[in-house]
Amino acid sequence: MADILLYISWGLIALGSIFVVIGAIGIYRLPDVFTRLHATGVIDITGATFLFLGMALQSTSIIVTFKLFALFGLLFFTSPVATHALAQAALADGVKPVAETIGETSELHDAAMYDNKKNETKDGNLIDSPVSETNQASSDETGKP
Amino acid sequence: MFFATALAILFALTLVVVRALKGPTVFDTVLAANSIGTLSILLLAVFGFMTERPEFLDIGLTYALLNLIGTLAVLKFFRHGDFSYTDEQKDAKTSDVKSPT
Repeated sequence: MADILLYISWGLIALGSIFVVIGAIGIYRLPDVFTRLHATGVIDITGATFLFLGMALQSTSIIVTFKLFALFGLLFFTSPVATHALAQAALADGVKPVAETIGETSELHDAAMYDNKKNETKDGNLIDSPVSETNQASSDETGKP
Repeated sequence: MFFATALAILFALTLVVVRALKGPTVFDTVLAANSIGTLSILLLAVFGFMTERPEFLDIGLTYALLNLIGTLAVLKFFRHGDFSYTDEQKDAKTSDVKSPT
């Protein structure tokens, strides 16, 4: 029983440290302030949660467990406050979020660009999607009896 | 095993310090400073368990409070240029603040 608890605790500590490394790589590589705020949240919430849970399973006395839970509660409730204040200050100062996608464009991105560029047909009718233009063309060809 | 966790947290600290030095806006630096605070709290807890001395958790608890207050104070300073401000200045943007000449 004590062995199982020990293995579970090591597993949780390993998971917590993996999340901390993932969050740090995110802070290094993400393109914008607002996306990096999410990486900060990953470190604060998931990394700290699993680390403290794993360490609480291995604690020697109940006072240590209580202190660990107090630390976890403090980090859990103050991290979103700091993140929100940072995001609000960055927006008030005029930092613009990054709008373009990085890497290959997705189909949604292509469809949105198509909608913006070709909104009307030659008659002046509005079309909603790229599919309806081909439908109109085929219906014009087969229309007259 | 605790040593591997401490090494992982140190690696994360290195990456975040690079972001603090490199970040184009000032908010990147404030964000990195907040993360450095949280990571040092985690490192303190892991180190306390490694050396079997639970006193490090008290230091971590104190620094968690100081980290939050420090982040909010720095953000307030960037917004208003001063720690005390009147009600008209409360909604002002950072670009409206006059620099002392």
